[in-house]
Amino acid sequence: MKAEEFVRGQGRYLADLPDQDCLHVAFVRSPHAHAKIGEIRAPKSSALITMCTGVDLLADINPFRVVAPGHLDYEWYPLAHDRALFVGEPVAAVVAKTPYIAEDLAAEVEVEYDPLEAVTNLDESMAGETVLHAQLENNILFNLSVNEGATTDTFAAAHLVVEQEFEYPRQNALPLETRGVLARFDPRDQRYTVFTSTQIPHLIRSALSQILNVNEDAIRVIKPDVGGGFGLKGQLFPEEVVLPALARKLGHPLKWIEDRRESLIAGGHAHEERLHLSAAFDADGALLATKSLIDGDSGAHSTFPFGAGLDPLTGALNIFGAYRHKTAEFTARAFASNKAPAVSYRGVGQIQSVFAVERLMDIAADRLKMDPAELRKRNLYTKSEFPVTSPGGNEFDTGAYRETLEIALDRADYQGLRREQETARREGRLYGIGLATFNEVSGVSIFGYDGASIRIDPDGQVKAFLSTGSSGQGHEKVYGRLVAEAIGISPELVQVLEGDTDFCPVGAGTYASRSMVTTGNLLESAARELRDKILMIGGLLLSPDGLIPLEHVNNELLIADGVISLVRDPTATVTFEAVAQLAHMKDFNFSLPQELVQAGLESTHYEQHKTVYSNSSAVAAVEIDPETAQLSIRRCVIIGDCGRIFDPPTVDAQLVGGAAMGLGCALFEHLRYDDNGQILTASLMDYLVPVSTDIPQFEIGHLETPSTFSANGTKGMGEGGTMAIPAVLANAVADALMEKGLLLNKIPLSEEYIFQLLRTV
Amino acid sequence: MTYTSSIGIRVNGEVVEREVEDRLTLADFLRNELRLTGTHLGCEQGSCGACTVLVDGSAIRSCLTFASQLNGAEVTTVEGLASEEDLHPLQSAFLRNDALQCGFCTPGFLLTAAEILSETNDLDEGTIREAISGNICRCTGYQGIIDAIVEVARSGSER
Repeated sequence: MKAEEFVRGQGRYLADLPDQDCLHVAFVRSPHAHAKIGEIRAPKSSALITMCTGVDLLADINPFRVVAPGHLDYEWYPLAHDRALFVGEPVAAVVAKTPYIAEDLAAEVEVEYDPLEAVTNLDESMAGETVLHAQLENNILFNLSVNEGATTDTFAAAHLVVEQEFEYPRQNALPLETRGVLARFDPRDQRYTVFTSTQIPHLIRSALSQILNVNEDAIRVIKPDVGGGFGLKGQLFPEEVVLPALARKLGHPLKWIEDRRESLIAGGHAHEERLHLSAAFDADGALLATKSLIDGDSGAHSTFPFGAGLDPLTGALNIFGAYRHKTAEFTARAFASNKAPAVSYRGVGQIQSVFAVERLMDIAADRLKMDPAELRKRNLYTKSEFPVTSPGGNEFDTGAYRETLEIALDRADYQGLRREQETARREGRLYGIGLATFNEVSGVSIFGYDGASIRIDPDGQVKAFLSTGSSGQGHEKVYGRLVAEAIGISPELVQVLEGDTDFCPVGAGTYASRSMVTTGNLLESAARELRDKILMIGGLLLSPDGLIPLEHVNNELLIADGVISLVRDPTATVTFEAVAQLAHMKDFNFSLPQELVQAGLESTHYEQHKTVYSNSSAVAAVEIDPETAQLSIRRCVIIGDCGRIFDPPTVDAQLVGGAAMGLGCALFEHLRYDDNGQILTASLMDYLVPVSTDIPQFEIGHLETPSTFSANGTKGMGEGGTMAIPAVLANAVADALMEKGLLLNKIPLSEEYIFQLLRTV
Repeated sequence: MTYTSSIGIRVNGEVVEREVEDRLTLADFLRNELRLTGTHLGCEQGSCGACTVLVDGSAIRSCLTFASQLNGAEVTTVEGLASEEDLHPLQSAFLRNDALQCGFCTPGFLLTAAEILSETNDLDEGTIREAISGNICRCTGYQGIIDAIVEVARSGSER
């Protein structure tokens, strides 16, 4: 059992892999936000095995382009060879016998830099006086508008228009295990083996095949145990290219483990956006139309596979998704800056848009003189309205959005909280109640298909191979149980294998709360197919009539706890293991009629899954100390609806753990740069994440409205908790601050920011 | 010039004698010299607690401690908590209470908790919450970890 390995300290993460024959790599990183690179001089030390600069590497790799709709592509190189575009961008790699020596030598490399003007925020990037990529005309890396002008008339005729600008900060997903790569090249079979701490092994293989100019078959990508991903490990990073390229050149296996400083300055940032939202309402508070402009600061590069548009586009496509309205238009853009490239982080795009939309709903409620709960209930889709096509064209299969909010309000005793607030206000205390309700996009399959394969050995050991990859979500346990239940055997017989491109089916990997929805369904299909075949072979052994046709096996035969029996004569039994044996090898008494039943027990299923939408509602009550601006969370209720729940403890753990991460996003997490593009948050003393004393008691619950788009009824459930918290706490804080709270339009809700709002005249 | 020291320490009950570079951290000594890779490095800045081990019964950050400082010390790592057969009560409680997901922070939490429980079993949830606040977990939201430690404290099985 995986969890038992972990508590024993027997997990095998990247840094734990056998490395006795490895040399070690350290990267020389730019100390400048934007600088022309001149001569690079290697230290004169016998300990230096080699140094590789960006120019050196040009001979060994193809330039790479991130191509996707709306993206403006340009050539990307893993080591900067001409200009460095952010503090921390790798400009050279040094190789030595130990990591200690490699780091010493990296510090001694002399690089001539000619510093250039740095672009450090959206306004500078939009002004375009300095253009970062010579192949582009301006700093726009992504630009997409949908339904332009479609809402103009509705806005003009509306009873009320609310409009507000919001800011969401730059954040880092901060998996506790940093990234790392171990690369080998075997000259005998001309193959690379690349161990990397990733969520997307097959996509890494595809990218490497293009960059290293070899067939996909020449690369084996292996994901060991991964100590958290949260989206950050869902893209290709420069080090994943440099190590295999150098390993081949040197003829020596190489290892690199990122340190926390590297991770915070160059390991992928996320979330930074400015959102300008408008919403039109009628006099009764019905939402009529919405208009959204989302501009992301995507840092220096567009990253593979999602590109610079990931956050703004995901937000825009799903904005106001839970609320009924007729027309919507949006523009999503991403701008380049001299900061670390943007990657994904749990709650992609939506953590920002949910925060902004939910603030806007509260501002609208204030203007309409309606209770915020009433305004939401009026506009949320109810269960009977589904299926729904949103004004942006999204198809929502099922949902119970209003019902979820009502359960959250009941659980929190909303009216009781309002009475408590009245009392508090009479006593001069700052007590606020916040709501947040939204739907979340999940199971997204923009990179094609996913695969699941099951192979049963002659002794009855079952192996399930998947294109997804766990980074702590418990796939081994959940998929193991799923296969065991679908076949009718003990989970102990099932081994779940992910993250090895030599054995696992091709597929997109784990992100966007997609694993249970995509490969979960495929695995169940494969398991059912094998169960039918097992029953058919069992029937040949047990039934006096011989072969039972496939379409009747489930009526005439049973399999439970690994024992197959006849429905009409339960005393006639054969074990699963015996059938597995006979499916592979004949014995003296039995051989398969091969014209009717093919030998072997294997099944593989591929599919591109439709996007499914889960939804959540949250209610929070907070109190703010008027003197110190200290925030205390009194209540925090979150009700999620992720369709059918297959493994309740796993779903609970994702909801609560996700909420804790959302708390960090809401209150502390903020990567800051100065005006020169120097990063100010390069350690865990400066970039703060929640510790045990920061976490309130999250009160959680579920509603189960099964999806009709997914055969197992599940919807994604990894991100609702995270998305809920910035929005619900922002609304609670704003409510506590009363009229001053209407100005609240930024995250994080630091004491500094709350203090500033309190002091507003 | 490389400076080295001879050290003799007891790790999980076994005496280990080595010549080590003076700048070698205890974490790297355990991981690379002894192949005890259950001690994890999450920040190498003393902030995250993943590398916590017990030195003479006290929980310390092995990323900020040099191996050469520890001549004569007794070190316990996560590999020293369980026997081949039986898990330590804290390990079993972590499994029962869903106190882990990716498992990377887990060894650090287990040893931090072992130190707390070695001092007293008279622990309420608030005290435990405070006592583990030097360790970071990004997956669980901490509740399962706290519940697990409360469970062991209540059963008194640590002492």
